[in-house]
Amino acid sequence: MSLRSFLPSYSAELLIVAAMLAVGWLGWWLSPLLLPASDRQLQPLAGCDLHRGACVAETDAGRVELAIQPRPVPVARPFRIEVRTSLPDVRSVEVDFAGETMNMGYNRPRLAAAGPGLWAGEGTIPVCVTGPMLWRATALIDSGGRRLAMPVLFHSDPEVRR
Amino acid sequence: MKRASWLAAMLLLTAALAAGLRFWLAPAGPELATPPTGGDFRLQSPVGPYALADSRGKVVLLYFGYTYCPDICPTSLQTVAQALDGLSADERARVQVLFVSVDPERDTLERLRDYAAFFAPEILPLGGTPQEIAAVAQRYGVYYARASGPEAGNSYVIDHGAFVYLVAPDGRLVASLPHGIEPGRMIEEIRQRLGTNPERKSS
Repeated sequence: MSLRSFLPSYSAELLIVAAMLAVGWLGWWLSPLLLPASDRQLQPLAGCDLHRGACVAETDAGRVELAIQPRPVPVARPFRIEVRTSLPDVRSVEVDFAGETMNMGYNRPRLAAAGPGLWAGEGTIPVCVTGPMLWRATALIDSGGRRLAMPVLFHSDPEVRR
Repeated sequence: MKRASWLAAMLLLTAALAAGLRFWLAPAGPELATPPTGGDFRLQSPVGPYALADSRGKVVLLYFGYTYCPDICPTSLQTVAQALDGLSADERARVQVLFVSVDPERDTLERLRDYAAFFAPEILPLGGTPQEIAAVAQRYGVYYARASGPEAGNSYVIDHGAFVYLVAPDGRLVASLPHGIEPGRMIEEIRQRLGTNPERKSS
């Protein structure tokens, strides 16, 4: 027995369209589970400045806070990096430092668990002899097997070598 | 039956397209550098060809710099020298320091030899062609570039990374120590790889 045998012809077509919409919605909804985990980028709240304080991003899954001490951020001297987060099931935290306008090499210290929701470590950025340059510090958090990335831009100043 | 199969295929395709669309529309993560792999290399030293594999069984401290470097390189090499001074004679004999010049244009092997000897006898300076240096630097995630700007003849400077790379006795790149690290911490890192760290021995 076919669909058309007991439904008016237009009803069968409507049913097919509804079914396609339903499975389309299902595919959309299941996509994060079916496809490989991808980086999710978190946008820090506007106006943050690592030279003055922590940078924070809020998501539906939790909060991420990146801070560097001392302030302003020194160049060519080790500094302390702290990431505080309320994200669930955090397995690892790294902070990637990259030159925004110039390749500055690989620089990604791994932080260690330092307390409930707190990860800390040490980093450094090299001096650029041509003057201040734009850096991107990206907090990379593995939360439940999914990597979340919070990039923050800041300028380095070679005169800041406390 | 044929019609039912066609319908099922259409529904599956719709689900797949929706899933793919969501994946494609998801904001891309930031572009990140690939982690360095490290690994063996072969360059020239003042006493002949040198391969990293020649130092198997030793902890290797690998530093990229140049002899005209105004402040960062001497500071880093001074820290390395202080760390070596803090090791026992046995430990020191199992450490090799390599100084790879990123300035093949000006750093001759003779100049490199005199420069390295100023800091510590264990420091073996290495040079090579620009291509050879670039290949090694890439493997260890090191950047360097001649700084743009006014240059007076031969007096240019080079921007470069300042990590000291730690290679374990089996040749694996295991750590990158930041510029400005205390000699005491560098000693701990070396001893950890030598297996002579007191804390590790007792555990």
